[in-house]
Amino acid sequence: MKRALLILIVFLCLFLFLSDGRLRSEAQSSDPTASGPFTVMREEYDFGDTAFTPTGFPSAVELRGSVHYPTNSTGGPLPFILFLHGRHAVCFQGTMGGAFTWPCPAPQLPIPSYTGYDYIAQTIASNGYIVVSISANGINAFDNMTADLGAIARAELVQEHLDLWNAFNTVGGAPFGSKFIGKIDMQRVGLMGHSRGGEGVVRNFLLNQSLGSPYGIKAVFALAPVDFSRFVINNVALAVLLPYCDGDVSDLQGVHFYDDARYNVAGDAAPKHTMLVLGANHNFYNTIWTPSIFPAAAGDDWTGMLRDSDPHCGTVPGNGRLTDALQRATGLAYIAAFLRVYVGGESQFLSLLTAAAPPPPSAGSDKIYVSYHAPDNPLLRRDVNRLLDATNLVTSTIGGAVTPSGLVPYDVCGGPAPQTSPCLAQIDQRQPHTTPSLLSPAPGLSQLITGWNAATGSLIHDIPVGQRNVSGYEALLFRASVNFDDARNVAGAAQDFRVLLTDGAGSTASVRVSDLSRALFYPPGAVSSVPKVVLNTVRLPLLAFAGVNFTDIRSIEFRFDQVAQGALLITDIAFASGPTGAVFPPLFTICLKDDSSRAELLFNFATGDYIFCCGDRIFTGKGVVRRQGTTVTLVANEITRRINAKVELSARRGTASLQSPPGMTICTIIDRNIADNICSCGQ
Amino acid sequence: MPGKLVSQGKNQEPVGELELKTYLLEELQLARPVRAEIAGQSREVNRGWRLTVIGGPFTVRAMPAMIWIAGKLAGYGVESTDLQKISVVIFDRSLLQEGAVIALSYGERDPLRTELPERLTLNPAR
Repeated sequence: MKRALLILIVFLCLFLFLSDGRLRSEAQSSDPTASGPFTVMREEYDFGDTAFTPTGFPSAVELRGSVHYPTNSTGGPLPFILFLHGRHAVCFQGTMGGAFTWPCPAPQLPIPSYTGYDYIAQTIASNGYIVVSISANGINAFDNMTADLGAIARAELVQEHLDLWNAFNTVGGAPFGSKFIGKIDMQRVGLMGHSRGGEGVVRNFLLNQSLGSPYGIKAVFALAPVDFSRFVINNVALAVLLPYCDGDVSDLQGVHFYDDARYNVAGDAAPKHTMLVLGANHNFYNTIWTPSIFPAAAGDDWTGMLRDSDPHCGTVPGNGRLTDALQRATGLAYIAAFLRVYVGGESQFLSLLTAAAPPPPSAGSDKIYVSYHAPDNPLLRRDVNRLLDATNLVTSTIGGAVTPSGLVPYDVCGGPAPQTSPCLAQIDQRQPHTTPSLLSPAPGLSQLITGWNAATGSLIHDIPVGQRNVSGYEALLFRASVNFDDARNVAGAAQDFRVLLTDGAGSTASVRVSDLSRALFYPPGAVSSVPKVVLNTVRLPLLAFAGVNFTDIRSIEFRFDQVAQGALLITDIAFASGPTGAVFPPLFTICLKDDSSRAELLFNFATGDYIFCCGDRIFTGKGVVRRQGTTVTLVANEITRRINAKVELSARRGTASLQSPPGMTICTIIDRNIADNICSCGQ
Repeated sequence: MPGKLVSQGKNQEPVGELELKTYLLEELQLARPVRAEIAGQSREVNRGWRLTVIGGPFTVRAMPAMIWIAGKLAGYGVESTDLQKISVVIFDRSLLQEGAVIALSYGERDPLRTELPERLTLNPAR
């Protein structure tokens, strides 16, 4: 009986251990695509087709855009997001494309590419952001005549719009009058650019920096971007979305933005991310470039006589392509998550960006592979091996011995000479990390190219003295891709191996990569620019390595014993954690202000962060927010205080009470019109 | 800028993924000299050649059109207003070789690079 009881207890303990959410590499996350509680208004502004001339540009261009903003958010000032579309046809008439010139000759009309991201703007704005999308047709019509293919012109156009919105925020002006005065936080700015617009927003970050950073650009999202000039940005959160079936920027050169920035600046406090989306093309992130939605000059960039036959990206039955609606869902999920995390401080979506959580169901696909490069902060990242040159084949970045066994080849490739580049005997479009740049000789990504002929291969990194306490990190991370050009990998089959950590007492714990990561998938496709090697993050939570002393880790071993043979490309081996602290200053999207006293309560409806000003006292913390329709409640039950608040957004009124200690009410708020609030609590 | 016709092809059947038809080569006399890089050296020139690839209508893309002559990059193309021509101005006369293959691509080693069915002719009388 006792034995049976003991077995039951052991079984229960094992069950609880294995079901611990921290053990799974893919924790659950919040849904960034969910609409927020705020009512959103969309308006346009237009200063004419020739209102602005970028420096040295061969033509004047338009100053035109749209704004989505919450009408009933009383917090703030609110963060500011700006979208910039990419290169596309510029004029249309009826269902036909029109002249490729600017301004459009009558009766033709400008193609409204800038409205193609309204589906993203609407969602983000409903969560308490001001979202602007700007038109760049004039630049599209003439940018091939410029030396940088329009990068600085786009950057200047973005800066001009930022200046405009700074004016709307400070002194007001037509067409919005005083509507936005004091409503915008121009120190919390996020940019998203698509295609050439992706390089444009990267270039704008550098331009804004060169002007003394008048605007606080906190995050830059490059969507299927070009990277002609290899601009590198640091100390700003960066994300690059790479559509696997991109038929335009088919070499996915935008991955260089991530690769180039990783170790470029010592102490770089900013995280970097990529998202590889299988089945996605270049155009369908913009509704105006999508033929099922807009009739003129739209199309599937992948299609063509040859490409149609591709089993993944083509049009054959059973292919891996996403519908345009599903593709937009992937963009919405990751653009919203990234901007809300790094501009709005809504850290509840962070796990989506660090490979710690799978795509949310609303993303429309689970074939989205994320890479994450942690800030260069010793508390958040300890590089084990950057694999930047041949010395890292013998000695790691932290000075430990690196010992291969049974690995052929065992070399670095893709980086600066004397490394071989590209790594594979394949066309550039299949090797994004090393694809050449049109306007820069910068080298590609240095990476380990290796493989094993029998299930006895291994790669051991010794951890030297002084580097062995890794207990403060969440996970062991590295980037890897299956080398489809090596016949040792079975076509269509995922790869796998084990990772072992050994501590100073000789205890070893191992995990199988496939139990915790999907990154070792076999790249699909067979035609034109696919398959591709894109290195994605394998994230192995340290808690999965049960039984070793994380304060004294002596070695990391990759043991290739799960598949008889195989070949991989690997880089960026590090212990790391998700960004924390100052990266996420709380954002308050709702404010209640008592009609007669000075009492104020500000809170974020998504995160529950609050600040309550009661007389001369200030209370901060995190409560629980619930939403029912347009009614939002905040409850904070803490040892020292209790807060209850209720806001009716549609009726624009609310109430709140603060008890400190619990049971003793020291402040109440009755706010009969939240729309007229000017809140200063905490400022 | 108007140019003096040097040669032009005659094919009207679209070929390849990019549906190319033919080409047009014009000589340009510049109003004033400009500096251009020729064979890696900066030189002052007062004339150039405009090579126009005809076909399409071409899709406006993020990747710039690249025009190739005998496998050498002639330059990045600029689309015409009707999107049926893509032109590049050449200052290096040595690129213009009788019988050279003309091709168009989007990106340097674009697998969809398409060659024109006609070779470059510098002396139409031949």
